[in-house]
Amino acid sequence: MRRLNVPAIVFGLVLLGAWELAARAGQNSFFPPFSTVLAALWANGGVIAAQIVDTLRRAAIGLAIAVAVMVPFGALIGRIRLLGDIFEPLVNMLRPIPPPAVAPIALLFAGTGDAGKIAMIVYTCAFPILIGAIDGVRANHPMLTNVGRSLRLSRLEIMAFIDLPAALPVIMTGIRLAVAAALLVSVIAEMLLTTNGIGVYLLRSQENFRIADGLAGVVAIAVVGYFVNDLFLRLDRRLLAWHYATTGGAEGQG
Amino acid sequence: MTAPVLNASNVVKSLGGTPIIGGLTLLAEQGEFISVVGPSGCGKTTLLTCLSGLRSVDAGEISFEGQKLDGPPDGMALIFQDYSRSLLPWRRNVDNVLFGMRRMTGASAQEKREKAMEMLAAVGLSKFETHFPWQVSGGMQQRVAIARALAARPHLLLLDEPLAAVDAQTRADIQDLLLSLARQFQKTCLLVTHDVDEAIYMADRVIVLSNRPTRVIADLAVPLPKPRDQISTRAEPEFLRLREKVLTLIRSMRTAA
Amino acid sequence: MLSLLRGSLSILGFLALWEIVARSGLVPTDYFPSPILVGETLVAEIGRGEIVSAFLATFQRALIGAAAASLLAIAMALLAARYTIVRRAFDPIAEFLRPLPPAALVPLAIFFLGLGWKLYGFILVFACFWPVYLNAAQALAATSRVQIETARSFGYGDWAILAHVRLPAALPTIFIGVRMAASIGLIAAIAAEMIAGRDGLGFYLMDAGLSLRVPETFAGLVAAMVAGLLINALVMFLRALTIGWHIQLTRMEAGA
Repeated sequence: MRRLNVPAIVFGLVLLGAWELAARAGQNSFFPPFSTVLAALWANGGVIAAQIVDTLRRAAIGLAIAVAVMVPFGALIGRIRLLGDIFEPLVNMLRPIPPPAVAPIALLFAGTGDAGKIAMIVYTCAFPILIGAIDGVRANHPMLTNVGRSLRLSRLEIMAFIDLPAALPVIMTGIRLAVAAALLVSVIAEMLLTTNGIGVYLLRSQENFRIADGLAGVVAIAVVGYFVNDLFLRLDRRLLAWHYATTGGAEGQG
Repeated sequence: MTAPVLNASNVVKSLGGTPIIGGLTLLAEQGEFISVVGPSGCGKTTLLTCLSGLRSVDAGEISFEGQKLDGPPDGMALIFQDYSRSLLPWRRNVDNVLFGMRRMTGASAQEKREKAMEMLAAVGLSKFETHFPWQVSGGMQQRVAIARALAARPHLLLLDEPLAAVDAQTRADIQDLLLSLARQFQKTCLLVTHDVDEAIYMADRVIVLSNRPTRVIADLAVPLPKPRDQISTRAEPEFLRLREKVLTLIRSMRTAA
Repeated sequence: MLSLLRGSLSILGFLALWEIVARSGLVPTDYFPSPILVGETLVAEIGRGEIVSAFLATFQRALIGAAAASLLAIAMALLAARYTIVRRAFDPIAEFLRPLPPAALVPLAIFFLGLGWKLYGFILVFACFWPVYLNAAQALAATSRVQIETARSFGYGDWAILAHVRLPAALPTIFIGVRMAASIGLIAAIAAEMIAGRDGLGFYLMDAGLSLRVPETFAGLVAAMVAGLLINALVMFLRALTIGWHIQLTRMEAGA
């Protein structure tokens, strides 16, 4: 049982209380009190949930495609010198392109349906995962490979039992970055390539001056984002318990 | 009569519910070099952090030059075993020495810098002032840490196994360097070590600690002639007699534990 | 030098392949302009000046936003490092707000802040704050005990230790966050311009894309890439200025 974090609870309640009081005092329809937002969340819960599921579905598909393609691709680039020479400069050239900038081109080629949005998400997730895989495979200490050889493991066995697990911490760091990016770009993509999803819900709320409904959507997506993040953090801890035990913690986070 | 440099009486300290120090009494007079040895894990490092004022004690009292300790006092400097981490990697060697001179108020930046250079010269590192610590060998890093401690102009130098992590040759060199510096600047020194030979070689007095909760079980004078010499001192019959005595004491505690 | 040659070879090869595919007619040329056409369009657009002012507007927004957010985040992390209660109160709220996609805030923020610089300021600072704060808070809390005790034994107080030991020790990790913030800043600026803007690269791209001016869209993409390269180079330059020691040290460790 975790101990209650009293300062955080107090601070959170003070913030919400301040919001409530300021909004009530202001009587401005653009600035609804927290209780109104909660009520809107309750009333629109079904709609919001359906939209968020749509958003998450696309984010998950995009992320899955990026992982399935980019982890093996990165491992090959990292391991085979020639491929590294060919592709790394390209990766370094394309990486600085801010993901939303490819939206018009995704629109051009894939339209406003699922395909265009998923293409944007795949593009966004591709780089952190690819770079994680390249660096992960390279950071592998040659001694471990020698251990494998001395145990008379085959090349394939070495890859499966030594290279991949050893590269996993760095790959997972890339995937964690991609998860955050996937959600972010999923929302942007919906706002730009308008059809459905929570991004569209938010735009519609704005266009129709339904501020409380919009804020309810924001609260909902914050909660979902928190749990998605938490899920991947738990997955990471479970998969990489050995890594954290030997190094004593994660390095960078974001 | 002047107060002793360091006076610890009946010190008791627990960490996380485990008693570490159990009523320890220790006295250091001006100009003495004292070694403290004990079985592994007996709480030597905890003792040193208490003596330096970094940790408070549960019971008993520690006073430094007649003043009761309450936080790290002026006039005391600490040399850590973990020199590679006690030096700041973003500061060059001379700036690391300057880091130790915060309490030197009244001196201009120029004077402080000259003093820092002087101290680096005293430990034989004049040519490495502008190197970063991680650009020089482990032995040299420990010399930088010694220069930094001396630059703070301490009356008492506390040394926490300062030579545990350097190779044997370097260790002998730095032992002699420390002895000559202690004499040259007339410092009182308290060396905590697990190396019995080193403890006897360096000290005027060897204090042997018990298992946890630790207290003093022997306080032996070292009547060996000075200056010490790595070859002849270690061959003296008195050195060998003391060595046997201390080792026997420590072994008896190991079997008792 | 050799790697630079190899790098340009690979990029030239990529462009040549693109040119061949574009000319072969495998893909409709209307949708897939050749790199030469994109280059010509880019030059013409630069001559017209619109893309230049769009680039400058976006770059300026990203830079100011990321810089302001970084300073704010470092200040907050220093407070959290000095007073445990601040960290305990703030961190769970940070955990909650951090995964919130900044774009989700744009529609409602328009109501409160309008379409001007206040909107960009809010969205950018919100987007760029978290990576810097999280990295800084974590690194400031992870200072080695030995370094802190050394400083204390030499008479440094809590604030002095924060300034002279914990902050410099944390800077390499803080820069990881600042680098993320810089690229997130550019993303957020372009996204906000696309959703709500009247100028900047985001608006330029969306405008060109929706009116099917395809070569212009690609030219805008190149401009966005240049902005990304430039802002990253700027952070790396700043990093080399501030923590040159750390770069040397890692290079030495990698060589050993």
